[in-house]
Amino acid sequence: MKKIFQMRSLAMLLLALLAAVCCYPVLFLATGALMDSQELAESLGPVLKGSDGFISWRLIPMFPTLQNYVELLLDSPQFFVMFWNSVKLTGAVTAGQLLIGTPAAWGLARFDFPLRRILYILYIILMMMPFQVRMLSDYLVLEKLHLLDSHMGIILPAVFSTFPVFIMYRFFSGIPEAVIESAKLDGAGAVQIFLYIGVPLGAGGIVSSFVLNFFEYWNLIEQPLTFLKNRALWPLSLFLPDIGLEKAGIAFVSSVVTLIPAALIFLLGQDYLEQGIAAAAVKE
Amino acid sequence: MKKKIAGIFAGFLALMILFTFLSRAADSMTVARVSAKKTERGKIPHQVTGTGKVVQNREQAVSTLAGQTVKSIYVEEGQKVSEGDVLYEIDLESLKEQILIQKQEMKKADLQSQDKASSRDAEAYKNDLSRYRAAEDYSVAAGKGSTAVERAAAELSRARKKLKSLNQSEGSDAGEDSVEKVLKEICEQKKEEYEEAVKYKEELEKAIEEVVKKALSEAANDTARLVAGEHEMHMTAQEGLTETAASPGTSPVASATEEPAAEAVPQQPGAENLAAPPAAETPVTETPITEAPITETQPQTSEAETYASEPPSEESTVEPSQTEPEEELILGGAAESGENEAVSPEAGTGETEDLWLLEQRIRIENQPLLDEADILIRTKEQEKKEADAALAAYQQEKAAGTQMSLEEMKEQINEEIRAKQQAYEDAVTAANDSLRTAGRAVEDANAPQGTDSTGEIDAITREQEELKLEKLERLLEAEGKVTSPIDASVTKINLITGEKTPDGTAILLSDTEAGNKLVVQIPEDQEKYIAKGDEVKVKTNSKDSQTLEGLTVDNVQVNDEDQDLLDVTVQLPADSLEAGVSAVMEATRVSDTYDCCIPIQALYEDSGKYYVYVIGESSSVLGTELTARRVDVTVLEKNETDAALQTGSISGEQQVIVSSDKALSDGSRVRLLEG
Repeated sequence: MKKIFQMRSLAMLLLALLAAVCCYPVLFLATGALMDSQELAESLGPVLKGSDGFISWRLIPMFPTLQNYVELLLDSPQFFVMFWNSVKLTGAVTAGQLLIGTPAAWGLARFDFPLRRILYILYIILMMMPFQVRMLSDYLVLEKLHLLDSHMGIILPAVFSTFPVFIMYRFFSGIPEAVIESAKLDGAGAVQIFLYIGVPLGAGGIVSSFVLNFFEYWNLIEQPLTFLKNRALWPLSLFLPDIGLEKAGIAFVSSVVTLIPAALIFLLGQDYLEQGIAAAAVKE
Repeated sequence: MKKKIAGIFAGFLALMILFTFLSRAADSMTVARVSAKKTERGKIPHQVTGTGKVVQNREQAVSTLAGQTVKSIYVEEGQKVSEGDVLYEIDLESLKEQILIQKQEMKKADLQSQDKASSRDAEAYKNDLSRYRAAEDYSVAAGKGSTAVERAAAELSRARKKLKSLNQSEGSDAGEDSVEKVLKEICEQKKEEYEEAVKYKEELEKAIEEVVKKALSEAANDTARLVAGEHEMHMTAQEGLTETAASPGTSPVASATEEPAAEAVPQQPGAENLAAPPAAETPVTETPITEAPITETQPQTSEAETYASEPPSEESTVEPSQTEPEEELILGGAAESGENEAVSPEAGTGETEDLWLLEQRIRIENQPLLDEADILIRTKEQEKKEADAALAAYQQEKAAGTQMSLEEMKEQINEEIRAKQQAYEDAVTAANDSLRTAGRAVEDANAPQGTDSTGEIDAITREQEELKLEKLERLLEAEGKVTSPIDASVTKINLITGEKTPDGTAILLSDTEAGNKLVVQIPEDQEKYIAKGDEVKVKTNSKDSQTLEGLTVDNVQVNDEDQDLLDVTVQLPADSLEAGVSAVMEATRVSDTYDCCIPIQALYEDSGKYYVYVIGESSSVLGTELTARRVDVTVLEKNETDAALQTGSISGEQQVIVSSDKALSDGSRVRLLEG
C-alpha cells in the first residue's frame, strides 16, 4: 500500500512538472501584460533588440502596471476591428458548419445510397489535405466568384469543410439501429428522426465539432493572409505579428485578451471535446 | 457551472463591445475635422482701403501778434462765416499795455543804440591814434638807427685814417718819430679849434652889442620903426652869425641848417678830412632802411634828440644846431614883443624905461648863445689840454726810452679799428632790430578790424519794432476785433478764451468756394493696386453714412512723415463732404482670371515655401480613412482672402482642406465635414 502511494506521489510530481512547463507560456503572457515598456525592454532586449545576454523573466513584475491594458482597450480601435472580425468569422463558420455539416454527417451515417462509400473516402482524403495544397485552387475559384477580399471568401469554404462532417459521422454512426427503428414504428418521418433522435443523441459530436472548429477558426492565419488584402477585414490572429519591442506590452495584453474567449469555449465544451478527439482518433 | 461560464463569456463580449465604443470615441477625438473645397477658376480682387480726413483745397490762416489776451471767441470749428464777421476779440486793456511797453522798449533801444554809436566813435579815434603813434615810432627808430650807424661808420673811418696817416708818416719820414708827429698834429688841430671857438664867442658878443646898439638908437626915434628895425637887426645878426659860424668851415650851424642830417655827421669837428669818406655811405646802403624819405622828412626835434644822446665831445658841435631854432624863436619873440609895444598905449609915456628893458631883454635872450659858446670854448680847451698831455706823456716816455714802438701803436690802432668795426656792426643790427620792432608795431596798428554792423542791425531791429507797434495800433483802432477776410468755414481754432494768442495761426479758415478733397493713408506695399485715375468709393464714418461712388484718384504719393505710407488724394465734388469729416476710401482692382484659386486659409507657408493639404484616402485596419496630404504649390497672386496657384500641382477634382480644428501634418487622419 505504501509502495503504491509512493509511486503515485512520484507520478503526481512528474505530472505537475509537466503541467508547469505547459502552463509556463500562459504565465509568461500574464506577467508580461503587467510590465511597463522599460521593464519589457530590459527583459526582452536580448531577443527583440539584439542586446547581449539572455532573456531574464520575473514571475512578478517589479513595476506592475495596467498601462498596457488601458492602451489596448481604450487607445487601439484597430484591435477591436480585428477582434470583431474574428468573432464574425468564427461565429459564421461554426454556425454554418452546424447547419450544413450536421445533416451531411447524418446522411452519410444513416442513409444507404449508391457511391456512399466512395464519397466518404473522398471526404477523408480532402480532410487530410493541408491548406497549402488547396490554396491556389481556392484562390482561383474565389476570384471567379468575386469572393476575394471578402469575409465570405473565408466563411463559405470553411462552412463546407469536411472535418466537422467527419467528427459528427462518428457520433451518428454510433446511434443504435434499434432506436431509429422504434421511432420509425412510432410513425416518425426522416426529419423527425434526425431532429428528435439524431441531434440529441449526436450532441456530443456536434459540440466537440463546434469546439474544435472554434479553435481552428479563432486562430485562422493562412486563409485571411492569402485571400484578404483589405486590412480592415483581417482577424485578430493577424494583429499580433504587427508588433515589435516598443509594442511588446500591447502584444502581451492582446494575447491575453485573445486567450480569454478560447479558454471560455474550452471550459464550456471540455467534456465533449474529449469525446470528439477520441472519435477522430478512431479510424475505421 | 456551464451556465456560469456562458455568463462570463457573455459578459466578456459585452465588455468588448463597450471598449470598442470607448476606443472609437477616444480615437475620433484625435482626428482633425476639416472642411475642404475644390479649386475654382476666378479672379483675385485687391481691395485697398484707407481712412482719412476731408481737407479743403485752399486754406487761409488768420493770426494776430502773439501774446495778446483773447477776450472772447465768436466762432466754433465747422461754423460758416462771411467776410467781415468777427472771429474773436482781444482784450483792450492788455493791448494798450502792450502798446505802451512796446513804445518804452523802442525808446530804450534807441538810447542803447546811441550809446553804442558813441563808444564806436571813441574806439575809432583810439585806433587812429595808435596807428599814428606806431608810424611815428617807426620813423624815430629809423632815424635813430641810421644816425647810430652813420656815427659808428664815422668812428671807424676816423680810426682807419689814423692808421693810414701813421703808415704814411712811417713811409715818408722814416727818421722822425711818426707817433710824435701825429700827436703834434692833433695838438695843433685842437689848438686851432679852440682858437676858432674863442673867436666865435668874440664875434657873437660883438654882434649882440651891435644889435643892441642899433636897436636902442632906432627905438629912440620911432617905436614902430624900431620894431621893424629890430627885426631886421635880428635877421642881420642871424646872417652874421651864420657867416661867422660858416667861416671855420667845420661849424655845425651851417651844416645843420643847409645840409640834410645824413651828410651832417661826417662833417663834424674832429674829422680831419672834410670830404665824406666812402665808408660813411656804405653803412647807409647796407642798412635795410627802405623808407629813406621818412628819414629825410623827420622833424628837427628828433634829430636834436639823437644828438643829445651823443658823447660829450660831440655835444659842442650839436649845440649850435639846437640854438638855431631857439634863436629864431627868441628873435621872433622879440619882434612880437616889439610889435606888442608898438600897439601898446604906454609906448610914448615910459620911453627910457622901455629902452633899458629892451636892451636887457635882448641881452638876456641872447645869453644862451653866449653860454653855449662858453661851453664850446671850455670843451675845446679841455681837448687841447688832453692832446697836449698825450704828447707830453709820449715825449716823456720817449725820453725815458719806454715809449711804445710804432708796431705797438699800430697794434693799438688796429685794435681800435676792430672795436669800431664791431660797434658799427652792432649799430647796424640794433638799427635793424628796432626798425623791425617798430615796423611790426605799425603792422599791428594797421591790422584790419572786424566789421561792425551793430548800427545797421539796430536800424533793422528798430524797423521791426515799428512794424509791431503799427500792428498793435491797428488792432487797437479796430477795438481789438479780428474779422474773417473771406467767406469760409472755420476749420481749426488755436485760441482759448482768457489765454494768450499763439505764435502762428490763430484760426484756420477753409475757403468754401475752392472745394474739398479726401486724403487717406495706405500702406506702401499696396502701391501696385492703386494708381492715379482709379475709380474709388468714399464712405463717411458718421451716423448718417453717406457713400460717394465713381470718384477717381487724383494723386498717389509717399507720405512726407512716414516713408512706409502713401497719401492717396481723392477730389470730392462740390458741397459733398465738409472739411474735417472722417471718411473711408475703397478701391478695388481685379486681377486676370486664374484657373486655380483657393481661399487664403487653405494656404500654408513654411520657410518661404507655400503648400496646401489635399484630402487623400488610405486603407488601414479601421477601413478606408481620409488623410491630409501635403502638396507644394506656387502662388501666382494673393490678397487677404484668396490665392491663385499655378496649375499642375493640384487637379480640379482634388479637395483642398480649407479649415481644420486641429493642426495638420502630412498623413494626418482627417474627417471631412460636409457642407
